[in-house]
Amino acid sequence: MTGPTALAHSPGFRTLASLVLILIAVLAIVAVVGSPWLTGAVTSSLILMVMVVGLQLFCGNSGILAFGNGAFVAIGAYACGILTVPATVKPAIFPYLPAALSSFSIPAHAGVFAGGVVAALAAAILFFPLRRLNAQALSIATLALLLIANIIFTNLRLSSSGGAVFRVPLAATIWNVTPWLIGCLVVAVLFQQSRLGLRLRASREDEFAAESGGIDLGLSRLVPFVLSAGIMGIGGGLYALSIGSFSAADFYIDLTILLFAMMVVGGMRSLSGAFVGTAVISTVNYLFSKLQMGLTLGETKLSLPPGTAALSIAVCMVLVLLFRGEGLLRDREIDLVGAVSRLFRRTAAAVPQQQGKTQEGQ
Amino acid sequence: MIYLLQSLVDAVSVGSLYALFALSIAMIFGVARVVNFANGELMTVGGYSLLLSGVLGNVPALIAGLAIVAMLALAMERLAFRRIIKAPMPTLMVMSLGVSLLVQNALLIAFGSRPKGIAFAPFLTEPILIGPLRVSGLNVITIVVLLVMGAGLIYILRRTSIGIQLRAAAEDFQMARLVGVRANGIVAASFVISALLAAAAGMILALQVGTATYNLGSRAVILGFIATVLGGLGSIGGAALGGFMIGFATVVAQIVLPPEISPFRDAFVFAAVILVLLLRPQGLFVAFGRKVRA
Repeated sequence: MTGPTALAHSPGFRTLASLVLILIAVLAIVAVVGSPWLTGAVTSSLILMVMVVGLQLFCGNSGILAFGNGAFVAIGAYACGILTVPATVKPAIFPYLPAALSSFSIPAHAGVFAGGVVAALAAAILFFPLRRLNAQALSIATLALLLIANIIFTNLRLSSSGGAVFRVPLAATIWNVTPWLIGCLVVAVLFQQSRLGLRLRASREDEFAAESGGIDLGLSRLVPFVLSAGIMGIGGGLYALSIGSFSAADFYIDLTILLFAMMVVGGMRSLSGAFVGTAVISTVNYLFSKLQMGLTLGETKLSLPPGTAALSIAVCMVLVLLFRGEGLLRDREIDLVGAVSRLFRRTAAAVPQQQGKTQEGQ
Repeated sequence: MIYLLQSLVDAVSVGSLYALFALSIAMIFGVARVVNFANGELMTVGGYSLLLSGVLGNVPALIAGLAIVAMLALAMERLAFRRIIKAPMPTLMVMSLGVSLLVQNALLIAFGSRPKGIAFAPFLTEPILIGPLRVSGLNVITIVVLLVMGAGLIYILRRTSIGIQLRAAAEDFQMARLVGVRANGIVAASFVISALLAAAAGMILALQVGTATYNLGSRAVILGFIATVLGGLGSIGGAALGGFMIGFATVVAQIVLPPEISPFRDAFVFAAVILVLLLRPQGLFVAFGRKVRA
């Protein structure tokens, strides 16, 4: 089987097609509703989704909880931010930035790409010494990386206010974030279906057996680590373009926990799980954030205390883990193509049966 | 010379505090194979419990604090972990993240984001002069608490029935169950012991800054986690030593590093941790031939 037939039968392609279809449906709804609040909320959850897809690419396929991969979001955001702040204001707001970096600026979405590349490069360099660590030690080592990155970015001397970046062009819209997300989904699906991805998932089930089967764990973890970091860097770059100003604190433990909640609620071992988990947690988060800010019902103003949104995320996380430990989707992928064709076949099979029955009745 | 001695006192005191963090993490990990991130919130609640001293008086507040934290730990074990205790470790770790987030934000809702001032025994932070050496009462207390709790822990683990069961369960959980150790009971016991250590650490933390906030234990739990891995997951003595070393290294880095890079002090300490992991992925103090079960 070659050509389009093989493509339509490949599970990866069907997952991808399904996720893209859902995305298009969501975009259509957002366009029809046209509320700026909804558009903003969906845009920022799509950006978070980019990060979760990146996180899932490594954690889901390798089974290693890389707690520190938020560091690559920070690297991507900083790279994108510093490169895209307009050259006209850059020397004034970042007086300590080397002249080589402050004399020019690049277009916003080139900055996102640069953020991904810088994060991937950093990951490749950092992973090289870490490649021989076992799963547990690797997960701690990445946590240490996150702590180190946070200290470095906090104390970075960019301006008088330390490591904060501002005046990044606000160029992220729902229409240009979506292509980035689709691109990242394509990379994730291609990796999942590749030989390396299959090997890595084999090693996830049993490290020792995989190694004795001749799989070089370090090497087969390197590629997903770098890809994952690149995608998270792209997520960071998009975040920079969507928020305009940020500091190291934006990419610390809170973000890490949020991304993990999204990945785990949907099902860590499934790419569609990252998709579903982000959707669920974002919805809960925005709903309760809105209530937290205050909701006016006629005369009375109802407002929940700060912390309620985070509390509700935590409740979702704990409930899902208690009653469906592997996440909402377990390790299954969404397959609309399969679902539709099954439905079609079932109705096709049901029609002659019914005809038969009516004939008997007569 | 005096400066050196002064720094040594600081280093030992910080090291002792970090050792408490690590012991509290290692205690649960040893038996239940859970790295419990929610231990940070146990510390936070310990810190908040000192607010009771205004109502109850100092000593009853301490006792009430320990009791509250122990009960919270029991509730965590019963409601969140017991049902899924056989799940793979990543699931348990993520569950503990979820519980941590839940309790932390419940505390934020209950107490607000502003730090609460603690009026517990203010003389503790006043410096005591021993010759030219300035030692705060809290420094001494931190070291004493570690020594007392460490000794208590050793006594419990070596001499009591619970302790022997705990060690057996840490060695081989299934085998321990086969010879009559009650699985749920022993996990609960490890949570209580861990909670007492966390409560003490949290109280010391709160006294150090003079206030309690809803995220008091967040940094501490990560330090404890890293220290436990450094010492060797599953080794209780190793965890204490790992914590002590990180605390000690932090103070030494503070002294040795030139002032312009001293904000990056912790970065050097964590980089050193990564280096140690590279050289000894099993941790520093895991006995030869004893591997950690995943």
